[in-house]
Amino acid sequence: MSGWEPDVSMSADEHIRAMREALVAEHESRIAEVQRWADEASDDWHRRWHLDHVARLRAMRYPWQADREAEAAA
Amino acid sequence: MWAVAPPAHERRPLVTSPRVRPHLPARPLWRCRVCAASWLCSPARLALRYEYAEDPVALAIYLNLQLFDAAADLHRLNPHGGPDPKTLFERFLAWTHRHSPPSRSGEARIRSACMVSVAAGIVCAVTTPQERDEFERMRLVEQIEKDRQIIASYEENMMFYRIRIEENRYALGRLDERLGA
Repeated sequence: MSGWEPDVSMSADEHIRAMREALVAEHESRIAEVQRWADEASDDWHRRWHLDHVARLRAMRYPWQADREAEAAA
Repeated sequence: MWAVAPPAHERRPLVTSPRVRPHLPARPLWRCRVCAASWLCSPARLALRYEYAEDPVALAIYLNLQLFDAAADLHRLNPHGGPDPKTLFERFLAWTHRHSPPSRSGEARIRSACMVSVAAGIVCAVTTPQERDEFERMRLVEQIEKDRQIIASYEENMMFYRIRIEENRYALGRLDERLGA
C-alpha cells in the first residue's frame, strides 16, 4: 500500500476527452463564423479586421497544447 | 482462496481493460510500471491468481521464466549486490504455494471465491481481507485522481474561453476606436 501512486498520466478520461473535443469543435465553428464575416465584408477595412480576428483566434493554443509545448521547451 | 477463472477464450489480459493499465514489470529494474513497487506487486499477484486460477502449473512456468529474466537483468545491473536466488524465489514463486488450490465443487467454489470488481469492470480474485482493503483503497485513490483531472480540465478550458473573450474585446476595441473617430 505504501508508495503506491495512481497512474495519472495514462488515465485519459472519456469525460475529459469529450470536453476537449467539444471545445475544439466550438472554437473551430467560431473561427469559421468570423472567416465567413470576412468573406462577406463589404470593404477592405472590415475584411482585414475580420481576418486579423481570425488570425488571433487561430493563434490561440488549446490548453493541452500549451502544456505540451511548455514541457517540450523545458 | 481461489477465484473461478472464465474459459481461456474469454480471459482478458492481466488486470487490465482499455482504461486500466496492467501491473507489468518495467525492465530491467523489475518494478511495476503502474505502482512502481517491486514486481510482483500485490495487484499483479491478484491478477495472475485470477488469470491462472484454473492452471497453476502454467502460472509456475510463466513465473519461472520471469524469474530467469529478472535474475539476468538484476545481476547485470548490480553484479555484486543483486538479490540472491532465495530472495528471487520468494518474490516470484513462493507466494503461489501459500494458498490452497481451487475447490472443484461448484457451491464451495462460489462460497470460497472472494471477488472484487475493479474500477473498469474487471473481476479479480482477492485472497485476504488486507489485500481486499488495499485494492479498495487503490480504486478510491484512482477515482479521486480522476475527479481532480476533470476539475483541472474544466479550469483549463475556462481559461481558454477567458483568453478568447480578451481576443474579442481587442477586436471590439478596434471597432469602437474607428466608430469614435
